[in-house]
Amino acid sequence: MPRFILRFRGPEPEAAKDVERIRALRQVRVIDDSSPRMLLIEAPEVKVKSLMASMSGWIMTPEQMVPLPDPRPKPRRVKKK
Amino acid sequence: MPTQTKLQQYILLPTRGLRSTTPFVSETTKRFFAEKSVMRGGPSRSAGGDRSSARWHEIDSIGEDGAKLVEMSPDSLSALRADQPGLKIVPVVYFRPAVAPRFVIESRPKASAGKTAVKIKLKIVSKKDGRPVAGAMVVAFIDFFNRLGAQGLTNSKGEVSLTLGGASRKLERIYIYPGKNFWSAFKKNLTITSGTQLALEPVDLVFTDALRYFHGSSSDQTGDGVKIAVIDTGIDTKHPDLKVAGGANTVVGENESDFGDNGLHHGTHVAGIIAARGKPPLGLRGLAPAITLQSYRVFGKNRGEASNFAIIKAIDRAVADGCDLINMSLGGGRPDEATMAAIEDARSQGSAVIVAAGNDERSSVSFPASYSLALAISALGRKGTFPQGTTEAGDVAAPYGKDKKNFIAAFSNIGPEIDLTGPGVGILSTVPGGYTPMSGTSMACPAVTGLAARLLSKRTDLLKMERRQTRSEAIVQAILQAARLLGFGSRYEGQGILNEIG
Repeated sequence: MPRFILRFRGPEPEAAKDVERIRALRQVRVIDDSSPRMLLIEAPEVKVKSLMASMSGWIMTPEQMVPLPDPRPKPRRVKKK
Repeated sequence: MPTQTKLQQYILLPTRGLRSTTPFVSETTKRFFAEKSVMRGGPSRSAGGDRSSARWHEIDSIGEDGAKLVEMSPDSLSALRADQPGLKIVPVVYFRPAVAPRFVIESRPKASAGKTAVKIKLKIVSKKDGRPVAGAMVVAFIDFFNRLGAQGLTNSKGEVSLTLGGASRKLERIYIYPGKNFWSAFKKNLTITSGTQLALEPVDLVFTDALRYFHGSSSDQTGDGVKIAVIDTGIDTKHPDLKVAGGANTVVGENESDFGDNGLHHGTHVAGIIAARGKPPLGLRGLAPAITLQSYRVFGKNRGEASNFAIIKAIDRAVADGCDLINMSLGGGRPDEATMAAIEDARSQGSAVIVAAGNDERSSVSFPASYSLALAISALGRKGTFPQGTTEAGDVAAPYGKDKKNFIAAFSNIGPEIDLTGPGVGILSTVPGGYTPMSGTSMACPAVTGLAARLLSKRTDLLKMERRQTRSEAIVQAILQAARLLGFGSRYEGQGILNEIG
């Protein structure tokens, strides 16, 4: 199941009401709610998009991984002879 | 000289929303948008008084207080960012039809297979006493252009076995990266067989590397009063040269209070550049040892990747903890709205965000450094600030500065988003259990952060400002105005290198 970051851009007290709505939805699992204006959730993308369309002040972005920076050149394998 | 005169289109916006008349916008930015001297299609406009060279041509505008479509050169973009840190500057993007890609040759006929793999055993030793060097990464290329070769780690005897398709091979290039306490090694056109021995130079803590060459030493009080967040792989809390005041681990599912080094040492090295408190020859000293150092670990235990969620959460925590500067020696993900929003929120609460431009060999600046509200940092090197025969020799590339010994590292990303450059080639700093040189925009970024801390420590007027947008704008403006150009051109160095302060 894909994971998404939901972030609220408005005043914090208003976010709390929406969070309760999000929690109550089927197929949505809240993974992290330790930030006052942000959630990490697991849900089908269609479900998240429809949720975003029904709530104002929220933005959604897929979770993604950022690699540790490394300027060292790396080899591919030597071709077999 | 790499100066470009080609004009590009950008959208100028306030940091939040499309209009300058919202409560979130600073007075400086409101004034900028309110100036009515521009006629559509009219003459070029300039900003910033005598110091600035920013000139642009307005093409369109969403009302008088709204976003503006402008055209300007990369040099002017850099100057405008320095003059108006409260502006969001977004490149205009044009979408094209998604035509099918053309076919290209991706492989050539293979030679006959089936031969037994032959291994070549190399031994890596110390140049000082001939002792074996364990844990060194050996990377050998028989065809560097195609990145063809093999790599491995040395064992306790200093030995590594490489499969290179023969008992004796001519290497186009070999790189050796020790874990700690030695400089790396780099050789070209070397023929190796089993038993070939290569020696590494031990690290000498009084050596003048690029960081110390450009920025000198610092006193025990340098950086006092400034709080800095290092968002990275965590910082070794037991290193004798480092004092970590606090922080958090924002990796989902891990212990929140474990913000120590995750085993990859990157964050400990970054932290040492800013704030190491040691004294050579027994230890190392960073640029601002008296700062309050906060560690926000976003990379999981022994993991070389971080989630954007952990990064965003760390930015939020750093701001909530009152960090004045946020150092992010990371990047490379796809641009995402939530990370941009977190940086915007940090700026709106008075914190400045400094980000490494990335190490993709002259590629465009990676995200989030490319985001307009972050300060993007390229990596600078100087010949003679690393021993001969080290891997840093492979980082030397044109363009050279007004001083021909200075260069922008071959690995450094570049582009119109670059704000500043900092020393990032062969930088000595702390790692768990010792010291090591590392290279990257990851090292250049904390060099700028450390210098910015020196500046802020002396600018108590800025530190005392209410934590809102005007504070971060004043901080960013003060940082950019303290820079001097080295002669590389704005795509390589932005406003240049920060001047020695204090």
